[in-house]
Amino acid sequence: MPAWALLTYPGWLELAVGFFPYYNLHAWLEHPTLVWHPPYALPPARPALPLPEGPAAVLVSLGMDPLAALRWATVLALVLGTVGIFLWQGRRWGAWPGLAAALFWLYAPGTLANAYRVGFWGQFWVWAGVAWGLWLLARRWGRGEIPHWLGGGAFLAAWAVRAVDLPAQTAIWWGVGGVTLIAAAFVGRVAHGLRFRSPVPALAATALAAVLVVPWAQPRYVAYTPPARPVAIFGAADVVLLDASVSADPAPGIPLQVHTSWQVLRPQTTDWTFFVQVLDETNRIWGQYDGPLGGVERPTTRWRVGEVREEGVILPVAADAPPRLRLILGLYERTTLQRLTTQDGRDHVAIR
Amino acid sequence: MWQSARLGRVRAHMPVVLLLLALVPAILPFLTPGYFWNANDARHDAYFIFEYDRGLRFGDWYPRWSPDFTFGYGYPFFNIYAPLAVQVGEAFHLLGLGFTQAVEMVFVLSIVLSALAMYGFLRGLVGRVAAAVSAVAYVYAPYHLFDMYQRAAMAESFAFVWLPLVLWGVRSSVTRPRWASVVGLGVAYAGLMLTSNLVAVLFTPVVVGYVLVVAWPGGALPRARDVWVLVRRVIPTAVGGLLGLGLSAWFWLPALLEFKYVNQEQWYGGYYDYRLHFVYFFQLFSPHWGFGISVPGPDDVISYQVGLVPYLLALAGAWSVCRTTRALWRRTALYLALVAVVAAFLTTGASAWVWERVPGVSFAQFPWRYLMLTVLGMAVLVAGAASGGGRVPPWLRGGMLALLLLLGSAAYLKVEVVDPLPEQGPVGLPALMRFQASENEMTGVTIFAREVPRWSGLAEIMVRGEDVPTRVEFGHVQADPFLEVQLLEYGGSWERIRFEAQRPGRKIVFNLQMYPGWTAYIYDETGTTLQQVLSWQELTVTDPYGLVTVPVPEGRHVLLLRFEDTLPRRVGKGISLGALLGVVLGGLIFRSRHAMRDA
Repeated sequence: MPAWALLTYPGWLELAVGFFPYYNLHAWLEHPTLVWHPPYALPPARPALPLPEGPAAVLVSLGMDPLAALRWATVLALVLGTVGIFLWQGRRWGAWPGLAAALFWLYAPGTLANAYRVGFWGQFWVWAGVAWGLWLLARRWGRGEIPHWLGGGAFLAAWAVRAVDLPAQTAIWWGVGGVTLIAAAFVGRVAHGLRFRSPVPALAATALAAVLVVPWAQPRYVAYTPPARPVAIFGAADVVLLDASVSADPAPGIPLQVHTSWQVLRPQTTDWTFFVQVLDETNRIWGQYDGPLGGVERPTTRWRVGEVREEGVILPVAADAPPRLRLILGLYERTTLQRLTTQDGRDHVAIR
Repeated sequence: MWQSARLGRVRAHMPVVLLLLALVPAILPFLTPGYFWNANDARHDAYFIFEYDRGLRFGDWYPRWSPDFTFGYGYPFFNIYAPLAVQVGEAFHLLGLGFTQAVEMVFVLSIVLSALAMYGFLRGLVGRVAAAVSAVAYVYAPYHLFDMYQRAAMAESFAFVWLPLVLWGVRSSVTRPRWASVVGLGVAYAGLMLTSNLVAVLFTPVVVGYVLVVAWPGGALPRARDVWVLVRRVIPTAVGGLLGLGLSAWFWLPALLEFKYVNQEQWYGGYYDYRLHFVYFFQLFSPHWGFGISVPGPDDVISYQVGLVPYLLALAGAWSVCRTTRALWRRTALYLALVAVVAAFLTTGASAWVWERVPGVSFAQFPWRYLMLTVLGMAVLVAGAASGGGRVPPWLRGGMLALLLLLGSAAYLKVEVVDPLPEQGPVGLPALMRFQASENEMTGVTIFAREVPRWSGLAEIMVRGEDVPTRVEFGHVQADPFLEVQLLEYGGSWERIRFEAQRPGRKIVFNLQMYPGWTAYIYDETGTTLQQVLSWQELTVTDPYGLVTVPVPEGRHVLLLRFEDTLPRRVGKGISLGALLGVVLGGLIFRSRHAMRDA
């Protein structure tokens, strides 16, 4: 329970994937298919099963809000994975070694870090499926080594095929997950060798592991609900403009209040400068703001991955401006004045 | 032979010695120089002892009236707030410690005594090693540490001492119904009531349940014979419980009957509304730790975790308990496990319907207070993990589990020592006044007040470091051309003055909040012949702070205004004296019967 309870926070977590699972869930709910290209993913997007979107969609259909549905779907995946490993290893080595293996998997640094800091939650469904599959194999062909080697081999082959051409970050976490699963099987073997005859050693070892791992991997929470899709994604999924709002349509002489919400999905090496401009049809500037995103105190290089930062500016508009105006915003590098482009190649985002 | 016996004794006591050593890390934060001024109730604790000490020095052996609270208008604090932890602090102060050091020593004592109490409770059930491990789990449970280091909840922390002792008393009085067991239960229950009546109320249903669990003679299906056995077994426990109530009646009876005369909104309204402080499920397991106060919503800085290590070891213990052949241990552990689960449930918003419907539950004020019972149940279950068989020697298993528990809480063993702000310390009247003004704390009012004061003339004087030798409101005296007042003596909860009223219908206003117990004695001019007694019902009040106002007769007289015992206080004292007498007489009778039997 302590391993998954932290996912029941009524909000979101500071994840390396930001709100991408949430955006994907909304996208999948609009066009549900068995195999799909998640629109919000670290590039390149590849065909994938809708995990965790599919199970989360079931919970949404039961009345749960999308953020909660994604979290609870992940809880379900973690529980299924743990039970699957317990059954698989329990059948092979006995109940208490099985418990040790299952708890190892659940409290392993890779599992907790993925659950609370990274956010590749779909992987938990895959590992749960692998564990249950191996258990079914073991049931069908007995306790011998063959089904395990077969299962392990099939799993490694699938992993290798899957890992080809994946971006490094994704591949690493698939690797971490796979190693954790294999290590769990090894722990089951060791626990068998140590003749675990009660749950006490397994639980005590888990407690020790949890003491060491959980403080390091504990979640940071975000009390923020974004819109169904982001306004823009700058760079290679680096900086996400979660939301932007303006107090009114741009009009001559009326100051505008612009409110934006941002998130970075990778540690930034540049202190991005945030610009907001009011332009006429000839792109002449009638109102302008330029300042470091996050302010001088917390420029983007000091932002935590996944944290949500709010940025508000008041923008005066020249009184002699023409009536037809539009508002754009974006980011640029202060020394080179080079603008950061969005994923679709634009160097600004039009808000009004 | 002699050496072997001595070795055996040393071995037998080794778990206690190691337990005491294991407590050192929990104690150390309180021994660091300085004081944790920013902890929730750290200032309150120091000023509770300060005010108790003032009353004591004025000559009250039990100062129900605290004259300096509410900007000098006073408040019947110790009439409604259980005093034992403060009294222990006062004892340390009388031994020469400063007020803040006295507070810290109360916490240190509570750590040692609560560990020993848990050890004593479980030693007979699961053995010394497992009992010692359980005691470590009890002290190092995150909520217990939170109570001490962050909340600085002196009374609640000290109440941790009594919970195992009460259960121990219940078990002993059922299984070995001797006078000592009955008295032990009575003293423990009285101790709990005098330490925290709030915890006593929360814990009493648990005690009643435990009596039935321990005393129940049969299986699942009750038979008529079983009921009779049950009744017979329960009688000594009931006597013990009544004894406890009797011994503490001098406090709880007036507290119960006279709480209605204070403004209860200040205790249970606004910020103290329980609906704002339910614990979110994830918070029970979140390892997050911080310093602050309880706030509405899920984003508390402070932690309500049950503790990862205690939780996992309690699970292991539950398995061990289910397999044990020791029936009493199994019943005890499983019952307290159930208590732990129910208590954890009561902390969460899912239990809101219980809070609304079941009387007494909302007495806890903050739902997370129920974690106290969760800590108790989990610590008992941890003993199960340490007591199970296996190839590992018990001392090694116990040592490893204790070490694990220490490791699990190591990151939380800290207090925030800071220098006091002017509104915090050094402890004294000026800082107390600044504290009240800046935080609106310790400004409790009685139901006779229409407004909560924000400052006062008395506070204006006290904040300059000057003493106020009277509570007479001289503004009123000076406004009345037919009234003159001469100060004679002032003693915190009483004052003697001489007055001359040149017309009938004069009144003397005192800067004291009206509350049951204020009595005015009017003597002749020499102060020797009593002419009139006015009880609190015959006195009037002056708005807006509900100040005591004495209608005085014409002429020169001496007036003595005193905070006295009301009927509930006298009856409570009488019951307590009777209970004490019963303990002594019962002891003598049982001793003589024993002697006769031996003869």
